Amino acid sequence: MCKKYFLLLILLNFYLPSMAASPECISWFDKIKIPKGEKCLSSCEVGKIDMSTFICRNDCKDLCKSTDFSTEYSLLKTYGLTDDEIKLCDSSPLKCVQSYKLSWDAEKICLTQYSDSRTNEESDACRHFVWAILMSKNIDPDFAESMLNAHENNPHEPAAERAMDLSNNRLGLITYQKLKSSNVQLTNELVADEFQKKLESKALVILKSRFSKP
Amino acid sequence: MKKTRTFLISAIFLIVAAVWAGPFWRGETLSATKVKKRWGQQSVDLAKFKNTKIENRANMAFNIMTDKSYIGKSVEEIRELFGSTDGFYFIDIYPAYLIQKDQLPKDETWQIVFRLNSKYKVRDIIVHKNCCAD
Repeated sequence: MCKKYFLLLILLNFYLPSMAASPECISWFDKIKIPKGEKCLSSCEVGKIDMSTFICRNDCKDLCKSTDFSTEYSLLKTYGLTDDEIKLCDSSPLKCVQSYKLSWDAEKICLTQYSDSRTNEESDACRHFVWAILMSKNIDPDFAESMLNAHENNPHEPAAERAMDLSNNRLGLITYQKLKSSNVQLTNELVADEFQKKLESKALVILKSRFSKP
Repeated sequence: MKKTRTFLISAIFLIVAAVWAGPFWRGETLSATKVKKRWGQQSVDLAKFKNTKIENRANMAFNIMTDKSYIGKSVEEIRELFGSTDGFYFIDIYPAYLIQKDQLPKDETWQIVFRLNSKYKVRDIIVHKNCCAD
């Protein structure tokens, strides 16, 4: 019995760091409501696809791996989701995990613009603006908006900081719609450029600039 | 008896898996011993912590992270004690305070973080590499 647990432990160790499927396919997998367990693979391999998800059936093995996102979702909960996030995420844990992974991607993009991650200044505005765009692009704009609002509905966050985040989230959502309608390819570089443009035009809310003198 | 044994083994399995799987959130952390070795040890002066330059906070980090009296405090209490946060860890609400900031484009930024539980109370205190130099 211990041997079995040991093997499981090794498997989990290799599996936890990331899922191999793309964000589009994770979203597709979540949307078509595939049953867990033995029927997962057979159901996934005949899941309804369209032009943007036709490659996702190739990821079915990865997507059906046991425990997967539920383990990560449990970890997320212990790290402190808001009540609204829990409500939203309980109905769609996979999207929730994906959202948080995108928030980490957003931070990485912003670290190409700033030397570190801080609060209430430009890198903070960047994370929110970019996260809104990445979620809109990789999950869907409605879920992105719901997730962003749920995330900010936190009674422990000071009101001014919440207002800053909500405003920058909103600008990210609007920018995504504009970029989408102009049919440009939404690369990370383009998203970073858009952030810089918004910053220069003072469209973003910054409570305390990192460049201001104390 | 069998159920208890299964439960205990499962619990141990989950704890070991969580630890073995590595940190959930990106970045390197330092043990208290390494913090002391790197920045020394000075008693905590909260007024000084709030008002001093970032670099002058670092030598208080060891005493802060090893002081168990902060465990269980709320976000609001931590903000009251240490002032507005300036670092960032995982989500905005985590109180994170820079203790060393980059001086060069490729230098490192470190912060002390009060990690929270699901009730937004401090569950542990870590020193975390905010960015970069890699």
